[in-house]
Amino acid sequence: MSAKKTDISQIEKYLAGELDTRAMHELERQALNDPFLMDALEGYERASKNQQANLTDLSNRLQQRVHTKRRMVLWPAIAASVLLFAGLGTWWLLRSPRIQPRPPQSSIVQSKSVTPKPAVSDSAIKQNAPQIAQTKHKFKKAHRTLKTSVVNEQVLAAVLPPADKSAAYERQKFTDTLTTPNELKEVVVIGYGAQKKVSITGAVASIKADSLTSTLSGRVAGVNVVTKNGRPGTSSRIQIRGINTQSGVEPLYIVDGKLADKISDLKQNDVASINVLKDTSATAIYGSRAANGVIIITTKKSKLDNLSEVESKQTQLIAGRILSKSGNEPLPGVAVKLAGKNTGVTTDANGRFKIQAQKGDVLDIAYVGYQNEKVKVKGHDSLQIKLNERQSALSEVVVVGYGTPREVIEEAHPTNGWQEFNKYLKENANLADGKTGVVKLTFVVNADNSLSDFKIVRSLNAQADQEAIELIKDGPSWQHNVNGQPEKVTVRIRFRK
Amino acid sequence: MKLFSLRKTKPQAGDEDLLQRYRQTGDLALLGELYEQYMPLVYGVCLKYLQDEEQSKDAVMQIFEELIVKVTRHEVKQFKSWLYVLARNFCLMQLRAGKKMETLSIDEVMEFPFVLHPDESNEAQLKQLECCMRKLTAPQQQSIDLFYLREKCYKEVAEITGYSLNEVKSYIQNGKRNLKICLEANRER
Repeated sequence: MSAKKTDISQIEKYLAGELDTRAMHELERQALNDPFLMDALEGYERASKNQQANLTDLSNRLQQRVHTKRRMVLWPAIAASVLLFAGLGTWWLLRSPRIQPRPPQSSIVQSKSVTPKPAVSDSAIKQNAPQIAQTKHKFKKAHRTLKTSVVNEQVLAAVLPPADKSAAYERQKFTDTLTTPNELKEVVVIGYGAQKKVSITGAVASIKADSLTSTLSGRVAGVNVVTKNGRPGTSSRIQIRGINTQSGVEPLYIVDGKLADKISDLKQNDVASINVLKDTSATAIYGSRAANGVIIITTKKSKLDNLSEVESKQTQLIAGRILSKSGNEPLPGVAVKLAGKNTGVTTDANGRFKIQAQKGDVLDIAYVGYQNEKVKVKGHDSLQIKLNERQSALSEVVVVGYGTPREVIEEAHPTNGWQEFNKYLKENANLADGKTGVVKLTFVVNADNSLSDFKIVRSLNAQADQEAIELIKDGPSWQHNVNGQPEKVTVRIRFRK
Repeated sequence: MKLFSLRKTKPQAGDEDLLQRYRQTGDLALLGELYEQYMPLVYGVCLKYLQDEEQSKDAVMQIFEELIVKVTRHEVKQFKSWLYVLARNFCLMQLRAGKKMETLSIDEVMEFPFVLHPDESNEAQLKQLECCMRKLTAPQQQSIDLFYLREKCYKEVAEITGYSLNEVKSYIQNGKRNLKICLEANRER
């Protein structure tokens, strides 16, 4: 390579003509071999004479550049990192309030739904009480403070997310499963009607009570309330969009955990909140009845009352049988209503009913032709109520409309009815030796109305048992079960003198 | 100790050496040192293309910036020639950006081989050279003859031949190129 250090002075001299021919030649020759030099020469030739000043200036600039740049390189890096940290900090700060309530909830509840507040799930329920109780306090912030001291309620509060809406309903179901207070062995949540666990999946809309001054329509997307005529008090039809309402069947109503046929009886002011399960996944929980959607209504009273009641009492499934006082006949179709609430059931063909009630609840029992009765629910879970026949004229009409109207007695029964059958028994249940007592037996009513398979459940003595069987065999004929299947019937025969 | 020795041999330290050291240490001062040696040339080139002194000075600095980036990226074999190409390209880009297209004659933009031919002193090659010389055109032959063989400077050649200075330069350059081509052609045979 040619000499590195280009002697600028040499070039300048050359250009100035101060070099001798020899030197000039040398430079020229060098230039010919080195186009770099050649170009530079040309440049200098065209420019003004004294470039030394410029070159010194350049030299200074270079030195500056070389020694100070480092700092400048750092600056953008520093600025960038500061901005990054600031950004991260604010993002983290914004996130953290949300993070706090989440872990307790998520640890307990699997929220798969779209709703902001997740519902109870299987795994949550199965957790042990102490663990649940621990996390209870974390829920206090988000929910209303529940004044309770019973473990049941604690468990409920901890397990169930935000108090309103479905909580009341769930709570009731929940307590039903508990047999003893202050003792939590194992918890299984049972969905209404079906033995399934509850979880709210899919489309759920909720409305709070405080703004519930108008009807449901317009408050929940996809829910339409249609009134048949403009008259107040007439039941309106609720349509939930996207679900099959063509058949005209309304969605399932659940009021305070009980199945309700219609909600036109509800006072709007009583309603604390409404949950609408819009999608068909509700059927997974509530059965095929929920094919048109489910509307879960929590009433204010129930919410508040239940709280205090649940503290010391539990709702129970009360089973009972209503008989007539005079003939001890089971009375079918009797209306059994929970006083103060809009839930009720009717007795079946055998006069039996089952109703959810708490201790202290009053059951209103009404039946055409009989005097109304009020029975208070005590600790027993089975009741036997006898109704007096009403002697006065039938001036009032009691509409038996609670629950599913049963026009057809479905189960197997004596063809002429229980009344006649009991009459027959009373007349004929006499033993030869005059003994008194009770024989309980079961037999099967076949599809062809024949009786078979007699079994003694409670025996008096051999003779009495035999007598009992004879009585039934020779007695009034039986009507088989509507579904055509053989049905087992239990009969109690009291032998009198 | 090593530093010291290096310092001593600074004038002799190769460009490649400086580059290597820069790559290892990242010390800009080294690069600055290297650049400074060629700065007059770079400046000159810029002057040639850009003509404006201030602009040329800025260009020199900008070329240095480019240098920093490119030195780490590419493997530079011959620093001087590479720098030359870099400087020239930069200036041309400037010109293009400034919409000032300088029409360069072919002669000026001609590429020159940087690799020096090994010293050929044997008979055969000299003969080749003579042979090729005769193939040149008259002015070229004359100019080359005067310049290389008689070792005249451009000025003298111009005076002798009567051609203008630029013409002389042109002839010499073209002649040189042709000779080179001729010699290479002969070598291939």
